[in-house]
Amino acid sequence: MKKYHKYILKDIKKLLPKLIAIVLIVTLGVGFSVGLYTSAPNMRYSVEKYFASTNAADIIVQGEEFDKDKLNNFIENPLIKEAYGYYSFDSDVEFQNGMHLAKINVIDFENKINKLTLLEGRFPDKDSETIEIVIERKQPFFIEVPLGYETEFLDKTVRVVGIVHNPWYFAFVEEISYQEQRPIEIIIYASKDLLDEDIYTNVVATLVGADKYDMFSDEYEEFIDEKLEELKLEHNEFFYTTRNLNQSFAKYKSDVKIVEAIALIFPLFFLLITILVSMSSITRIIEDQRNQIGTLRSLGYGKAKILNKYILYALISSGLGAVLGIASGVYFIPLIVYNAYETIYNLPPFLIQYYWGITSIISFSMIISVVIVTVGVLLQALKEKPTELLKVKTQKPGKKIFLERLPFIWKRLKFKYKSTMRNIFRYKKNLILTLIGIGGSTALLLAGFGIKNSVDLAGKYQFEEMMQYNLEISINPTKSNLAILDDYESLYIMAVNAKYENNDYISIIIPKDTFYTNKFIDFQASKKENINFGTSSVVVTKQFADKHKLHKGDNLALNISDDEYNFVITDIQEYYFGNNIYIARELFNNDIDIFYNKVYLKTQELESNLKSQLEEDGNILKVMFEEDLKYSFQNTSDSMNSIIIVLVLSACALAIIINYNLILINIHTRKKEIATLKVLGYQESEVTGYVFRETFIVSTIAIFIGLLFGKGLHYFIINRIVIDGILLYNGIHWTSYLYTFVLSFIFLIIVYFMSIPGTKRIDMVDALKSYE
Amino acid sequence: MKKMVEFINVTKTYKIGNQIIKANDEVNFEVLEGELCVIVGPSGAGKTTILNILGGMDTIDSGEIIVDEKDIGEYNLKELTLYRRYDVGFVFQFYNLMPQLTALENVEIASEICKSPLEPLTVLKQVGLEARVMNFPSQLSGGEQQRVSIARALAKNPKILLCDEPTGALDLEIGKSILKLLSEASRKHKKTVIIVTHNNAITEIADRVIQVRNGKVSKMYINDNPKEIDEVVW
Repeated sequence: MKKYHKYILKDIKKLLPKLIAIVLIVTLGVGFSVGLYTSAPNMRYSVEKYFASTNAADIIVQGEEFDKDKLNNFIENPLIKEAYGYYSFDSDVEFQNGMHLAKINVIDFENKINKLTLLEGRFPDKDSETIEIVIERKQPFFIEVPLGYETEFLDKTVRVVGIVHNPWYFAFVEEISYQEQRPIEIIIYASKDLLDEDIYTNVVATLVGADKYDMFSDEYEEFIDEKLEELKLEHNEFFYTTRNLNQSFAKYKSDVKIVEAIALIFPLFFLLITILVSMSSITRIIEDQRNQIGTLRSLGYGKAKILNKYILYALISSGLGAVLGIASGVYFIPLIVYNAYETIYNLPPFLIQYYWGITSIISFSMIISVVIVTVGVLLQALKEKPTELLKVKTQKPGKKIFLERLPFIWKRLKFKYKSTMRNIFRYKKNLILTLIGIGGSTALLLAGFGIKNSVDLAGKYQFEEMMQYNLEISINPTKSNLAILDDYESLYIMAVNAKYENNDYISIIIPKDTFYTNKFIDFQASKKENINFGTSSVVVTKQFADKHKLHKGDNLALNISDDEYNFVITDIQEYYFGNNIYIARELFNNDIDIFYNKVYLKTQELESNLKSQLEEDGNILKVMFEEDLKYSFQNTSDSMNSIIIVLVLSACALAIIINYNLILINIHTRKKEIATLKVLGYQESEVTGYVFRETFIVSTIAIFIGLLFGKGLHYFIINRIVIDGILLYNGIHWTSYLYTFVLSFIFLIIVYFMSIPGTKRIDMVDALKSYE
Repeated sequence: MKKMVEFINVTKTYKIGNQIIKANDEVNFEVLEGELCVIVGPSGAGKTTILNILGGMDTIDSGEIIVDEKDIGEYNLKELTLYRRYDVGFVFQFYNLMPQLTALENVEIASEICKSPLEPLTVLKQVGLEARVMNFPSQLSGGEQQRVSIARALAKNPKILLCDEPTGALDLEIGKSILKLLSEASRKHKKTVIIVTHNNAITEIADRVIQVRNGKVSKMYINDNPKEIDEVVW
């Protein structure tokens, strides 16, 4: 028995090159699957730890100026765990190149909530002569100010001494001033002694029991919302902001969800590929070792003994692959994904959390599949009698294929193509491996490009088709007509928020006239079906309708300014950016005071000219150009780039591995044929062509199948990605089909060049002397 | 008649592990155009090495191999490929047919890359396989497969026909019919045919016999009256 074990060890050395294919595919499968699968949880973990370490607020409370008593009264509420008050206001402040809107927070630097982390410089010194301030770190929407810079506000001179960050501002998003309705360009933290009185406008607070929840979970959101309702009963004069209403947190939460939705498809896909690749490798090994198996069998070794040997090989190679995969993927892939998001966030340092549960499940399912495949292939071989095993397996016979029954095609085929076509159907296992492998990676590629399209096309259709106006002006609602706008094509609307089913707010748009409504907003039920907005129309945008399962003809109850209104939905509109309900003015009869607070405008005039001109009119409160809206859309598009790059790269890696594996199998199974061709005087390029032609044809078919399948995969993923306020377009642009097609072909060509040494290495003399 | 093949001091060594094996040690012989030559010797004597290097499948260490006035010993790999393509036809013990091709296609695959090939169907008729041209190798008997293999070599219209134990896997009667085809190639079609075998009986049909032992040519002689195939028994 000991001899047998020794022999197993010797054998494994010899088989190593063949086992390496299994090691590699398991490494790749486990690495990518575990890495991508745990990317989302790791993204959450790093930010959660950051929030915990800075004792980030659960809620921020805003109100009119209040005094210490009122603050204490609020803080003493049993729902509040910790809280502290500060004074905050938005004001234009001079910085280097002019006036910039600043949010000035007058705080106590000793506070324990939303602790500021110092990045550069130092915190303000209380005893300093000039008042010292620190500013929020730079991001695309904020201006940069050097340390030591002095400016003035509240009639006092202040000096910038440090750069800090606050956990509530880590995304690159525009913060709009609530008071000014303009973007904030700098956030300043000044010490309490800037104020002469003890007054407050804001409270940051953590809530009792909130830390029991995972802050990214629905349970946390529900818990906070619930507590907030209770708080509002006692303190309804305040305006509350939760983490989920905080721009940075909400955006990050939604981005992580996208990573999660996309990563989910990988494990299953890689498992399938692992099964296919290991099946072909094991088959090759067992075919090579028929003689040995036959000898052992004829010496009286039982099936189980032989099975054990190969199961051991399968375990060792897949086990090694799993270990390598874990070593390379578990840390680095989440790190890469996380770092990719550094382009649109100021993220805290990456912290890894090991998810051994899912890691083991993925690893074991890979290992077990390899073992099952091994047992399956071996049992098939062991069905043969030892004497049969001792003979070299005869080459698979050629057969006529269906195509030969179609003489008008077959006769026209060149000779070498006839041979190729027969070979394609001779090795069905390889055929299936190629179709699934290449088809699958093509599908992944297309899905990756397609997701990018879905965001970009949603933007394109939104701004080029849905919105036929390019200016949105907020006006003083007491004015129902502004003379300055008379020269333009315009649509006056009443925009109000309504409450739907207690917890969801939706913007209601009541247009002044139907003609311009139809002209300015392209109402479409789908790309093919237009809607006409009439005097009895109630049109709901698709994302809102989908979320609440609303359909055409359903009743819709809305709470507008504490009054209940009932409507019947006349149409669902495909609309990509934001959610609205358009209601015809006529449906309100006289139940509601109609006033117009916004105007949509269409103009070709230059933004800069028009903006200053309009803003001179005291009745115009805010002017928003199409470009401003586009910007926020672009931001969403950018945030998806990183995960799409990961998706595309892994599809590329997969395509190359599968292609290469296929070529190796092809060369291996055709060793004798290749040697024969060489003896007949076929040149290297012709021989490589012989092997490659088949891969090429099958891969091309696989690519087309992959494109079809990719369309389905794309649709599946798109429906799993939910971004609040953005409806993804569910189509794919034709260029993505082209890119995918071209890329897949480039891989094929790369592999073609990789396969040349393989055919060169085949020795004619060696290959032909073996028995048949 | 002119010399078709000439080996001058050809040496070929193989390295197996640390051992160096002299497969061909200063081999000298010649074959004239149109001759039926049999190279005979026990297994391991080096006769297959002679065939491999003469067939352009392997290179030599030293010496000269003149085939039709050219020294193929000097050829690089690319030239050797062209040499195999235009000048040599092979017949193997185990046929080496392409399993996914029919008999006819197996002949075509060789003829289509040659300069002046013979019509594949004609050659298949010549070897007596008219009725089997559309069959795959797996549907043919051993003898029939070897006929296809001979047809494939002949259709290339090569200068020399090299046969490695062509009857080794066949029984007596079928083996004889194969030898008949090969001798016809020499006698009727004036091809230079070189057969490598361990079977001494076959030497009786040859014009020229080369005996190989321990990597050297031990004896070379001309049969003045080669026997007819039917007279030979083994």
